Amino acid sequence: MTGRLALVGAALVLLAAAPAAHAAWSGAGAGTATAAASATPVQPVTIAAGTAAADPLYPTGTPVGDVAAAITNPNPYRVHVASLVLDSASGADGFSANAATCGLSFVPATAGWDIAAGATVQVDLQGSLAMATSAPAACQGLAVVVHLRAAP
Amino acid sequence: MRGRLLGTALLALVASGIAVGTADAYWSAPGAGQGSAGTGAVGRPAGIDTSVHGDVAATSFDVTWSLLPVPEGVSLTYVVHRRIGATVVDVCTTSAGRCTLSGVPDGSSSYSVTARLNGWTGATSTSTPIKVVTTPPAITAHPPSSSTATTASFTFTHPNFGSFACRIDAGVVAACASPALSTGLAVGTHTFEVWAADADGALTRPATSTWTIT
Repeated sequence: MTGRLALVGAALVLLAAAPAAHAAWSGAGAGTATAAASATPVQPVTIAAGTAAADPLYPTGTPVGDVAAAITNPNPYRVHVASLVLDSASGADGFSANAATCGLSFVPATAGWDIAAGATVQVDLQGSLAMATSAPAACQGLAVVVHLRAAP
Repeated sequence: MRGRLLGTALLALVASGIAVGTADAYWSAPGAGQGSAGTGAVGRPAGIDTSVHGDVAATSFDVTWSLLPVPEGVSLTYVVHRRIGATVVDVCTTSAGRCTLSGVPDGSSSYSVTARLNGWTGATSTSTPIKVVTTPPAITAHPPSSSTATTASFTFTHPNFGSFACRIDAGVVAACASPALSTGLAVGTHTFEVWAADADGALTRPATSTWTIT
């Protein structure tokens, strides 16, 4: 009896572990879970200017402006982007140079997005961008590039 | 014992099934790139108008305009300026689309509205001019300062307005025309007052004539 119990226990451990590995493979569609997870690393998503309608930004000192982005998943399986943060190492502190005097700040977007294999998702990050109240008149009517990074 | 083991195995299978769905949704991916945003602009208010037009006797009236569209959370400030000749003064600041002005001085004036948001200032819209005239009518004929007649006749004119209102002593102000005749007056001192009225019924300052019936 003790031997049978040990066998059943081992089988349960395998059953519990296998589906988690299977999840990693549900998008890839081939191979075994463990082997595929190590052989096919997740490719980075690409982030480009979006087409979603976005509220423009005004010098209110509060995050009233939107950022539009298109996130593309190059992987042959679904991925999850947990958040988008400002890539302050790029551009002028994360923004295009034309907005350098505008005192912009970005509120990280943590909504999270599931992106199907090979798909592109348009996102409108509402209320994610603020402009300082001291922004000069020259900051009116600008098209601003926001450098973003997908964070785990 | 065998039944309990099978039950445990089933529970494990159900739990692992839940794990499948959860793990499938959380394949995190890194990445970087560029999003896009745009800054707004403070525009020119449209539809500026005054509640009175042309030559008016009123020294209090409204200036109105259409609010500029801005996103939620953004509030523009509108400044109303009065221009009389070459002099421009700010007469009202509001976030609404209307200002009520009072104590407007005589003369031709126009009103302009500018929207502002901190350091941003939009283009200005200007109303058509209006002319405030509070000058009283001119009494061109009246009784002598001392008279025995118990009737009195007055004639009067105004360079801007053709309507008038009159009263004798502390009577009721009523519409009148030139010449105005008053009869049955008692012995004593009397006062005649006449106002000119604009198209909206606003009255100028009065002209006064006083005489005594003996």
